[in-house]
Amino acid sequence: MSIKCILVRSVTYAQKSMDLLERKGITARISKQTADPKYGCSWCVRVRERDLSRALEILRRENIRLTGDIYDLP
Amino acid sequence: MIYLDHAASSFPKPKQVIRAVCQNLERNTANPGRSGHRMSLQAAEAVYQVRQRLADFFGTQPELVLFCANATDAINKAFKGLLNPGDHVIISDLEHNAVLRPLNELKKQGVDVSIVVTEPEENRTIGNVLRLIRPQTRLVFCTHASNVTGRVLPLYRLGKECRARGILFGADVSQSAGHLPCRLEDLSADFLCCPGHKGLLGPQGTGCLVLIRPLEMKSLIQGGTGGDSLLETQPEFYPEGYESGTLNTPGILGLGEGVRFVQMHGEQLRRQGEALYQDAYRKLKEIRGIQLYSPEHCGVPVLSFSFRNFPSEEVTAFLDRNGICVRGGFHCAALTHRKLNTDRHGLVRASFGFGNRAEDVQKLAYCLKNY
Repeated sequence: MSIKCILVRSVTYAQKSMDLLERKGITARISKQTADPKYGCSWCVRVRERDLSRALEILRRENIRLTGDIYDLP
Repeated sequence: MIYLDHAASSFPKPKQVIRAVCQNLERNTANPGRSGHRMSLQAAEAVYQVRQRLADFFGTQPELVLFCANATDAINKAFKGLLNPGDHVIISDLEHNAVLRPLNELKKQGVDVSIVVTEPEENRTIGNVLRLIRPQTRLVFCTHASNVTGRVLPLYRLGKECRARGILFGADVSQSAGHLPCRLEDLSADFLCCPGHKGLLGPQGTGCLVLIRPLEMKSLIQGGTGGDSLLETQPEFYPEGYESGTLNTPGILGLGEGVRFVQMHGEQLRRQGEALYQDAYRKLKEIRGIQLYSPEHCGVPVLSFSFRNFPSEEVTAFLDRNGICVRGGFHCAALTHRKLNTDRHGLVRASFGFGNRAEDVQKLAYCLKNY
């Protein structure tokens, strides 16, 4: 199953995102990422691919600052 | 020992607070929000839970709770982050030096400051503030309750007036948090500054600056934020952009438990503090030579008095010899003591809180009667 990584600007936003998604029934985990040298260290919210579009919709509705970058994780 | 100095720092702390601090030091002192390993993530999660708790307590979003070292730190971050040369600020004449001194520093950079005369009549205080407003007025900042007399200012009404005029309104809730409702909406405030170690019953070295919405604010301290690490300048996102450096994790976790305790027992604590205040007010009023400077009806449980014409520190030393801890002097409040004409001998301040009982008031009154 493919995991998608939604990049956010800080650990606090990552945690808030995880809380919001879990409350809506979406399993989410956070991890630290260095995938994009634009940002250096950043934080990612990991969700299953099938939950991605719903997760993004929820996070945007809750004004979570997303970087706009989404990565595939093995 | 009878501790009646809660307005300076509360004692004792609830057991849960002590346990949270010790457990953090014993079990996980990884740096929250820095590394990706499980201990760091667990620490970050624990800090986030406290942020969330404080956000619920003050009525905002977790990312708008900025951890600080104390209320003074929070006030400095707010003033120096929000104000620019040419801005005008209005403060009350009951403010702590934590408010007055940073503003006097900012005056050197072209910030103008007016001090409004507060009066027992709320409408007059509000009228006095409104008369000082000018086009350059960027901020009105007021203490919720005086740290000397315990008098409560009409923040909600003041905040409404400021909001209607597009002026920022900030509150110092150092003496009221944990005693009075302090949600940002209750105060009609854009931000508030709060210590963790007073009415919120947390450890010293904790406090917070809490915003109702993201404000355009410069960061006072620049450095590591755990994110955007290849950026060579300070990122300006909440909260990490304003919390550079490693957080006081044990203190923050202790604060979280203090707030949880206040959330669970707040009404009982408030009633208890009020009852002790009213009892002390009645008993001390009957003692010859005592002049009370606090209002007859309790706002927050802070009761100040002078005794005959003695310097306040002589009275506090006498009480200390009798096992009672109160605070004398000028309470870091130059403005208030000048207003009260108590800037010669200061005042004795008894402040009540968690752990005090009716017998404590009896002993205070007994000692003063027999001085």
